[in-house]
Amino acid sequence: MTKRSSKLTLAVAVAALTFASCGAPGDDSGSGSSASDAAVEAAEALGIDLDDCPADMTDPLGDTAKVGLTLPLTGGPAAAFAVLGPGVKSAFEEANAEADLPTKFELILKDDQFQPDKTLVAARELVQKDGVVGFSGVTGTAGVLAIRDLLREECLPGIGLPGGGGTVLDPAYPEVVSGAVPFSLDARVWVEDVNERFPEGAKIATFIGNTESGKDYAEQIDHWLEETGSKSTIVDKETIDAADAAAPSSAVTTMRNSGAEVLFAAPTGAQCISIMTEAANQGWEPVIYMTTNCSSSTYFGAAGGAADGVLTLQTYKDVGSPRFADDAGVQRVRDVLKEYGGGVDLTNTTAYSGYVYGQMFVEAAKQAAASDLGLSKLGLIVAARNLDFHPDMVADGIDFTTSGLSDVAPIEAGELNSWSVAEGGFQQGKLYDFEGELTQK
Amino acid sequence: MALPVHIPAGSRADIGWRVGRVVLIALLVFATPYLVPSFRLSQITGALVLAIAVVGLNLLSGFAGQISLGHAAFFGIGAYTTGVMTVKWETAVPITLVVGMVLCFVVGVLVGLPALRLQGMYLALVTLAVGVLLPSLIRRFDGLTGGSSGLFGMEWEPPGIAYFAGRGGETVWLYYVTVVALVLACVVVWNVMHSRIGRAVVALRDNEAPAIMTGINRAFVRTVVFGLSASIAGLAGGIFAVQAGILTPEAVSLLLTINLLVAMIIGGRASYWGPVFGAFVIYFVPVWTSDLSQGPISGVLFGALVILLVFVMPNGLAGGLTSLVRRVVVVVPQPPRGATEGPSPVPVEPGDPAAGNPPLEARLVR
Repeated sequence: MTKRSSKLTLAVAVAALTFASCGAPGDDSGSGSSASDAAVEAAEALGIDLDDCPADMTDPLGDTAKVGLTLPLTGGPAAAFAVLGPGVKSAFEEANAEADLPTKFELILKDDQFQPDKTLVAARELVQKDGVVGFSGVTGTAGVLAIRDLLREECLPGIGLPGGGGTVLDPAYPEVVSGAVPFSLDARVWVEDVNERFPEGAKIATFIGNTESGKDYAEQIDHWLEETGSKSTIVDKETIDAADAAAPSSAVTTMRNSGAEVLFAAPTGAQCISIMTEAANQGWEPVIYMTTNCSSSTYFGAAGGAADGVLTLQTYKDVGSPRFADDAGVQRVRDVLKEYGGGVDLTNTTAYSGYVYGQMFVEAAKQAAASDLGLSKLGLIVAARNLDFHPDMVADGIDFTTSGLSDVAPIEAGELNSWSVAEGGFQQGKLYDFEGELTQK
Repeated sequence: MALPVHIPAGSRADIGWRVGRVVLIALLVFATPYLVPSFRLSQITGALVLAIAVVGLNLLSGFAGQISLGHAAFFGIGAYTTGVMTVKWETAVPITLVVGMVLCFVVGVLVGLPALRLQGMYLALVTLAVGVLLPSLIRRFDGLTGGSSGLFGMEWEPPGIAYFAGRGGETVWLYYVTVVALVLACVVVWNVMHSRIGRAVVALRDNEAPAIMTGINRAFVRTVVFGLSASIAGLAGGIFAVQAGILTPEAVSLLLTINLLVAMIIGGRASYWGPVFGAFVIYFVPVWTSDLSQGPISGVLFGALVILLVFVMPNGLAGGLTSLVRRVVVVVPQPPRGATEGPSPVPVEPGDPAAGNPPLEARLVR
């Protein structure tokens, strides 16, 4: 080593030691709260150790509090999901104006481009920079999984997070409360209905997207066929990439040639339309069950006559359907979106869904404020884990209920409706209710 | 004092100028964890990870002039190697990084073979195929990679010393790991470009036929550079895996390659600081534009800024900064020892280290 480089190395080493002597830069831990016995008991019932949580876990939220929402504001998925923001925001604005809560909520949006790694980065910023007291509306199973460890670490509630995958309904993460129809509910209803229609069994073909939800669907269909002792069998499994915009001609031909009498379809976006039209074009007429992700009059209407009689599970009211044209709940939410949504498209069902996710958070806040724990982070988590209410945008007879760790899925019921071209909307079908049965054991 | 100040190369002032910059950078590196909150440090680490990948791409596309549209694939191979090995087989992270780099080197060499016969857009198309293929393979082998659902649970526990204690200890640890990896990547590229291979790379880029006639082994040079470039991108991917803790096919899609290319151009093609500047722009501009405007307009702002930078600084941020510094300080090359002293700086013949003359580029770019 030359004399010059020795001096340089020494200088760098001295600088390093100087900074090291300042203490650990990451040592910002301030955990361990002086919680009441009731708070400790409530937390322990959910598997939360308050000693591992920030000290303000049981403190009242104060006059104002921020709630975080990461969503795609740029990139391809933004076209479909960016409208969630005004929906969620409207629920909080409405609560600020009308609900008698001790805290006014401000929703902070952050772009995540619908990429889980970016969701986590954005969520960290919302926690540390903006000091959010919780999250609402973060979309997609992978996105929810990305932030659930952060929620656990910071002991923050994530209420109304629309991830339908089974992993989102994990009692090990009591902070996470889903706002989506679980794919397990969809798959179970399909299997139960097939068992009723075909007591002697049917040949089933599946057409499922290469996505995180597709994987869940495939697993859940197999699970419920076995669990219910169904005599039906899957004779063909076809998949499609999420970005594949071409008509699924060869997949439909293969499924038709397999002799399948039933089609379970869980594609994505515009593929909801093309699978129905392609099946009709090839003259294949199985009993079609379409994923709840496609259960919108937008998709079914676009498929024209091909959608006639196609079945789909619906929990939320379809704003484009004549059945709900004069529905008081839909009308009320429409008025709220009109007032607080900043010019959001009032025919877009996603905006209404966003409202429901925000409404779940607000409902938990109301219950927490009325409880002994008060409106604190812990109060919110405990309240969200013991929800029982009926959102305006949810069909009659279906409530959002949770119960501690024994029932972590708020939505466990839905109507299996069929599309009617003559009616120009969905016809009300049988209500399937599996309340308390979808929590992972 | 009239600007610019002229400093003779090799003088005490020149040495002070050099050492001062190194010390300043070292101070900045050590001070950053104290100056910014944990989330911002995590974001800075994310930008540094991108910078490593851009350093790799810059070696291939900047210095060697070979367009690659498949670098996201090498990044992804490194990322998923670390992800799968740590999560499924509980292998130590450093081992997975090395394995990932070796794997990327091999794949890089294989992909680089067409580069012996193809150039320009044709080579770009071959590499594009690799970039498009990887996300599909990740989804296809979902039992191993987690598929579209993602692979979770990668982490790199910091050493059990007080400096990395606390809730943000892992963030600080990964920051330093990334800084060290970036420095190593830069040193490797610097050494390669100042070696016999580096001169061959430049010769092949600028005029292939005469370069081959002088005895340069084109096949060896091109494939080695392709492999090195890929392995550096793989290193970045491996660190990304433990830094993000989540891997999905979308994270290594074609969009990442485009981002890396844009970062290289914005930062300054074939420059040593360019990848770092470019990576920070690519990483932080979308973050800040989405803060300014919460809506689709943030994408428009980002695009407009990129176009503006390309027009205002055609040589990239590194080139712009160099021009700026030269308005203040100019290091004047001195004649080689033993040469007759002339009235003014004597041009130095480039590229003959054996004779004591470093390459001209190395003495002028400061």
